[in-house]
Amino acid sequence: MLSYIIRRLSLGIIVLLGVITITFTIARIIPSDPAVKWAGPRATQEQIQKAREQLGLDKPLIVQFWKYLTNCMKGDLGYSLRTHQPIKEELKTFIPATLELVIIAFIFATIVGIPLGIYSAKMKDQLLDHLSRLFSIGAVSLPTFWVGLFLQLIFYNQLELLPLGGQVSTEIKIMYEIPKVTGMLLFDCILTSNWIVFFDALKHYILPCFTIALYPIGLVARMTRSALLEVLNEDYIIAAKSYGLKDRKVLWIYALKNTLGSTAIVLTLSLGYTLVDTFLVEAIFSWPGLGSYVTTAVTTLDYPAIIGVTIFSTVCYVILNLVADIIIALDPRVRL
Amino acid sequence: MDTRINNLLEIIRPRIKEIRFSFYLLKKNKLTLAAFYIIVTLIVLAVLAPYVIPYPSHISDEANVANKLLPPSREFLFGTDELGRDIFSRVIYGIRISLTTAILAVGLAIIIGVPLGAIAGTIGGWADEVIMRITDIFLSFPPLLLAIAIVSIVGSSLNNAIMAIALSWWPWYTRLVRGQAVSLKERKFIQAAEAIGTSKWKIIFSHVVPNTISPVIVQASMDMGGVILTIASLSFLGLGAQAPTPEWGLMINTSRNYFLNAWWYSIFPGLAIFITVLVFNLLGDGFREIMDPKTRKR
Amino acid sequence: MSAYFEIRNLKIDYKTYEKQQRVLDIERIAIEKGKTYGIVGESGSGKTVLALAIMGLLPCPPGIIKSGEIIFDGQDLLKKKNKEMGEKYRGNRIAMIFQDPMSTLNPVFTVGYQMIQIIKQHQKLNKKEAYKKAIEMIEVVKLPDVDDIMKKYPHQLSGGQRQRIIIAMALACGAEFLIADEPTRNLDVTIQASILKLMKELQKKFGVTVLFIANNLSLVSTFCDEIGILHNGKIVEQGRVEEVIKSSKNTYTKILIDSVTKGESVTKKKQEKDEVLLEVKSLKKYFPVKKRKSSKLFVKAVDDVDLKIYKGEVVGIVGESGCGKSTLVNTILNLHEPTSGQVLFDGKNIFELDKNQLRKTRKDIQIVFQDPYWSLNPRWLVKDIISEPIKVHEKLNSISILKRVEDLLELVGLPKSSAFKYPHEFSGGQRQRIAIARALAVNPKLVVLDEPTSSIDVISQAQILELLKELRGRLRLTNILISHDLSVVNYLADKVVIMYLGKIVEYGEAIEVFNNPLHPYTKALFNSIPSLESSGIESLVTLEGNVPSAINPPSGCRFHTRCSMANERCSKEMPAMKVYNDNHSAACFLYEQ
Repeated sequence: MLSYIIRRLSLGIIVLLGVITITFTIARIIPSDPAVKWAGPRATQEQIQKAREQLGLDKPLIVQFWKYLTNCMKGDLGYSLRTHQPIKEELKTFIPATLELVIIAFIFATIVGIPLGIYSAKMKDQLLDHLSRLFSIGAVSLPTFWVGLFLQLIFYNQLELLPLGGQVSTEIKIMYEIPKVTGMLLFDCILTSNWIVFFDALKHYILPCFTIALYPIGLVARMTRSALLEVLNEDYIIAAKSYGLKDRKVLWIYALKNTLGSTAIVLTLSLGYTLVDTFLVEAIFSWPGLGSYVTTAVTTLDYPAIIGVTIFSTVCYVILNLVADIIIALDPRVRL
Repeated sequence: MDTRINNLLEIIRPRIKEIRFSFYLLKKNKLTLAAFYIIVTLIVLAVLAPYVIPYPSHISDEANVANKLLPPSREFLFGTDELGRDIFSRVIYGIRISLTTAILAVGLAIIIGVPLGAIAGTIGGWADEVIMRITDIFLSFPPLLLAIAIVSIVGSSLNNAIMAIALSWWPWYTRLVRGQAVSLKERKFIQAAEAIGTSKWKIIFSHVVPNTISPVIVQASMDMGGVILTIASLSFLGLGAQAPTPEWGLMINTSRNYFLNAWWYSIFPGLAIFITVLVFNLLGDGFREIMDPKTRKR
Repeated sequence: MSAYFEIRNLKIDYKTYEKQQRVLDIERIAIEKGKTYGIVGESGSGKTVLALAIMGLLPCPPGIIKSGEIIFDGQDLLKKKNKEMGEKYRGNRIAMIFQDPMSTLNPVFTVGYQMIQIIKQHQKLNKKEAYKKAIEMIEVVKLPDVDDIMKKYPHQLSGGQRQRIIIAMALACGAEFLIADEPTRNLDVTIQASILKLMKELQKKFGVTVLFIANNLSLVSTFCDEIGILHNGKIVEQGRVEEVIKSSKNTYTKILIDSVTKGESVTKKKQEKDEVLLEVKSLKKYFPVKKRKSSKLFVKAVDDVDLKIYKGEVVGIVGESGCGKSTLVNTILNLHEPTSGQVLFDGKNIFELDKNQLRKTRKDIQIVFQDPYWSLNPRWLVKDIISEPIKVHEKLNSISILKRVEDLLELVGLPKSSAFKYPHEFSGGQRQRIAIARALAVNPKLVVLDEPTSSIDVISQAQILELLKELRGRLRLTNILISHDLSVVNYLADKVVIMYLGKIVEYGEAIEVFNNPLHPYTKALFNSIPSLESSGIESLVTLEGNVPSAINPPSGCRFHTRCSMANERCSKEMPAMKVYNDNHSAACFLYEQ
């Protein structure tokens, strides 16, 4: 078991090295000169030269790569071209808001998606199955950003039930102190028992959370269903029935444990999708998270910021995959 | 001559039988069949788009400010946008854009991914190791993110978006084909070819690759939906198609400035995305079931 | 009054694309309490459908039970609801043993957990009592280290052990009627004999009635009191074993009987010249064990093998799975690099050839694989399949290639028009003919036959064997024949090689070896295989213990751990191959003098 984890970890490190190499390559083939951008639009030749030295662009490529690599290892992702602030610090302020959305969506995917998939497989070809399949295939076919807009139209514009965007209402922001412990607003409110802010924020959370959760719920339900159906076709399931075990027991104990591995993979995959979907949804709901940061970076061609976010998200994703692999390793069939 | 035609018929006959069998299975699943017909319609519309849309000139940036932001009417089925262009015409023309870009992106991914997977699976050893590690690295980027990073730095354009998507999508095909190739190796005809003395490359491209076609087609049909969605997302971020291209994601992006008083502007392109992606997903699901050897056996 | 178990007028259809097909049509099968009834049928004859139908587990659709009764102890099982079947019959009174012990056990639970689940389902016992009962049952099936086995996962057990566990599960809740669907299909013959013996013993001990299903006539006739021959869903003949075998009336039954008795009256002509075609010199092939920290471990698949094959002779290689016979052949074919040693083909070491010479040798050595379904590319036309070696080795235009293909098709007894068809349009036997045609396409000097008949139906088997024999006479081919079926080896081979754990233990003229086996392993192997003459399962010889691991083979003689004649010397020294008389040698100390 331990040797397996060590092997997976070393593989993870190789993957991260590869990721950094790729991002470096992308950053280097950029057509415009970063030094020019850094120095600003009306910079003199001298200033540009100085910026070039400052950014280390005058050194050979291999030296640049080494510096880039070691910096990445230390968590130093360079400076934003737009704000000239360290990207690491900027990310720190934006991550919690995104993380909160992702976690909530993930919880929904797990507690709604998995049972939906299981019941759908259990009731194969019955009404519930058809409805759940239709729902889940619809959910993965919807453009997330459009769903956000659509919900705003209905719940803000037509019904006037829910706010348009942001994490809290402006008046609340002015009148009350916004708690800041972890940076995750709802969580912080609970920690500080700040219920007024909590309930106001909750209203703001409903639409973005629903929008983001839709895709992973559909994905997880679909994959759980097909994984379970595959297992239900196996010989050992027929054998278990031939020994007289109750259908219920066969499904919930004998079959389900065999789908553990694929469920872990699906949940990780759905997290990956959610993370990037959040970027789009945040832009719509003016959410102060990574997504807003990325969209601004994209429009201002702030490439170190884009690369920074890419590296950060990829590292998270690699770690998640590692966790999924370790869960799969709990399956005794995987020889360690 | 006669025998040649006969021989030709002999070759084609089982293929026809296979296709008819597939159709039979397709017909059993009403939803897949419906999706199939809708896709055929979409393709026809895409091909004929310039000739069937009511305002062909509205796909450019021609402005007609007098008609701007009109709600749906008999004259403008889906209303008009901020430049007074017919949204219906633009949405229909968008089919053409979405389908061609998606086909190009998936095709490119297949062209890169399939040979690599076949090589990795057939040759094995260090080639396998190297190719699969590279694949792992590409797959460890969260989906879409790599494409965003590439396009935002290389520059926003539809062509760059296609390339970026292909670049982040090929590893899936490599994985799929590698798995197929490995299980094909169990099938003794590969060993037989080796024992005969057939060269490695010949084995890869004439024995392995043709036998991975069906799963690749299934995968491709399932990916079409995802790729259309990705292109729309990239365009929505301003990273894909550029104005005045009538691309759905881009249209929704522009519509955000007006959406509280012109709901139709964002609703119709979004519906178009939804329907297109949905039918491809349905077809992919159906294809998977049809191509599944378990279903075939019955 | 009906019998204890009786099937009447059972008709089952399967709905397929285009048509609905009758897969089972049984007029009557009756089994008295405590008796054993055997059904002999090939794959596709409907035997598994029958088993599942009795258990009430037949998937419907695609299955449709048209009519009939399955009466068990006075009750019609087909009239029972699924719930009642589950509660009162399945596992409780009727149990089933499946074909493949690996896929029958749930891979993610321990053996003990699965045993206890089943016991608790049927008997009101608490955890402790159920555990005790489980242990009791594992002891009944004679597995050692019971507590240890309870904690193991299925993949940690050997095939024989798994099948014992499954038997324990089937009997755990006191089943009185047992359906055994090819219970020894994937097991080696020596293990098969011990499993069969165990089943027979338990049958007597618990007074169980058994419905035994298999495709091997000798096996079924040795195990059962009565047999029924199932062919295309119909029982074509049934009765007491001796009656059916001695005075069969049905043609299909006769072919079946012929296929297992053939090869006895064959006289083998001696090869004309003593010219060596292939010589294997102290060949070793070790595979490194993967996924271990210390990669110093090796599977010694072939360990120090010497062998000479003369022009024009057929050499049969016999041994259980894992004995190294396939590795040996693959190394001869140069599909693997050897660890050490030489293979001389026509005097040249095939591992030291340059690219061109290697291609020439490839042309001279061809192979026919076991399963013709897997060995032909399904996307290629027959003409392309057969001409593949021609295109690689000879420069011919497409017209002469086609001519050649047609000649080859004729040679193997297929119509010329087959050239423009796909493999899936042919039956197993015909496909094997295509594979043979491909192997012969470039006039090879040596053709390796890897279990050429073991995955095709009985009728085609006989025809393929005949074809091979005929081709051999016409083309004066040299063959290496790998087979676990001794009758096939006996029918075709001039010489026989017996392998055990990577080593050759006996070698000689086929007649000599078959009539007068020397090595204790050879004797055990021959006597563990049921034949029509064997008088009951008790007469079979079984070997104690499992085949040792090839990673760490026993010291001295590799067989000493399971040999009844072994003495101290056997565990210390490795016996060398000694010539016993003219052409018969064995590696055993018993024949030192």
